[in-house]
Amino acid sequence: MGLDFREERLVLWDRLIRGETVSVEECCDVVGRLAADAGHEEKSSCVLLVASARVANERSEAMRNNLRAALKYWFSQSGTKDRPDSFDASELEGQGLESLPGLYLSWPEALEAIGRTKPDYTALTRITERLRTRCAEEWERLLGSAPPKEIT
Amino acid sequence: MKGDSGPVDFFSKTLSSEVGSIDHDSHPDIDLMLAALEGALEPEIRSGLSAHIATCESCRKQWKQLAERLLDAAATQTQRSRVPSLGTYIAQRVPRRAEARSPVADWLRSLFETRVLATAAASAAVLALTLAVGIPLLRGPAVRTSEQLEMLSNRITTLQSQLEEDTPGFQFGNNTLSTGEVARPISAAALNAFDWETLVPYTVKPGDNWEQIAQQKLGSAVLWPLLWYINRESGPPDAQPPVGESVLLPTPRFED
Repeated sequence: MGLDFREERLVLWDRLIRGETVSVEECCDVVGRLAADAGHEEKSSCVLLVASARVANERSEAMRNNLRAALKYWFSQSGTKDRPDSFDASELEGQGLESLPGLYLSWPEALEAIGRTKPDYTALTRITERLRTRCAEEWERLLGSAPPKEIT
Repeated sequence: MKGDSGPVDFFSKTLSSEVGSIDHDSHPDIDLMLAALEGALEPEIRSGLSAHIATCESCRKQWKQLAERLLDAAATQTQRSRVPSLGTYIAQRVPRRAEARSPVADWLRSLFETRVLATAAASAAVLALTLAVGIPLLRGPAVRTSEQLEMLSNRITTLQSQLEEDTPGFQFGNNTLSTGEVARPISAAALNAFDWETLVPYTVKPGDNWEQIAQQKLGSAVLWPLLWYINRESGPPDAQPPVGESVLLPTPRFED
């Protein structure tokens, strides 16, 4: 199975979702192949990947867990809704990217999917803010231009 | 959360587009998916497979079906496994047999307290696990059975060499027995002498027990746990096999 550029990023996303060690350098290596004429979406993905790797390598375990929950939450909000009748979010705990598209998890379900039982709504706000800051930094560093207004 | 436009929308849209469909040239086969579901893949390959499944509608469908079937199979297996597992049974049976006060039994009892049998008990658990996966397959199409038996055979060989390294032999009375003579629970040769994929019925006679059947029909009493295991639906290992009913036996392999 040869991997295209997006699949290479998805491999890294999968590892981040599973809470495995992904270094910023690994992500930068992949992102280094970003074409100069890449579209906005692809640039955003690359920047977000590096920013996520930075958060994943921070000391705070709570923030690392929030990142995993947030990735499960956002990746699940894609594709046609396809959720089994007897869906149990806690069964997603050891699973990766393959199980997420189409599930449209709620935030408490995303927390359950990483083994947390208390619905902490402020956790999404905290991880969003942390990622926004990191993304803005990485956008300037990697692309040498001002970040889009959504993350400034 | 949806009202929080800005970064949340940005992240959500960005990641949603990451898992948009890809027109893949090739697709993973079922064996690879099964290996992933069994947790047997290297992380890099597993994540590559995840990336593929996330971006391929048909593979995702297949993946979900396989996962559901495995869950169903696991639930059925749990229901069938009300009888003790093979590993548990062997661990229970060895000390109980020791009460028969034979020199070999006494030796086994003392050996059980050493790390040698701790290794053996752990290996028995591995063996039971292997059997739990491998033996049920003997009854269905022989897809993976040979692999499972090979693994089992290798495991037993390893166990024997561990035992032989750790205990050169033991004394009882004026006799010396080598470890191989007493501590060999199931030899790879004995196992490989039979085709465990082709099973034939045997009608249980009054007075039969698993050990006797193993001795009479397979030529080796030590094979009784395997024999019971493939017939475990007929009752717990302590019970007499049902007289007048059929149990399944492996067929001998004949050398050319």
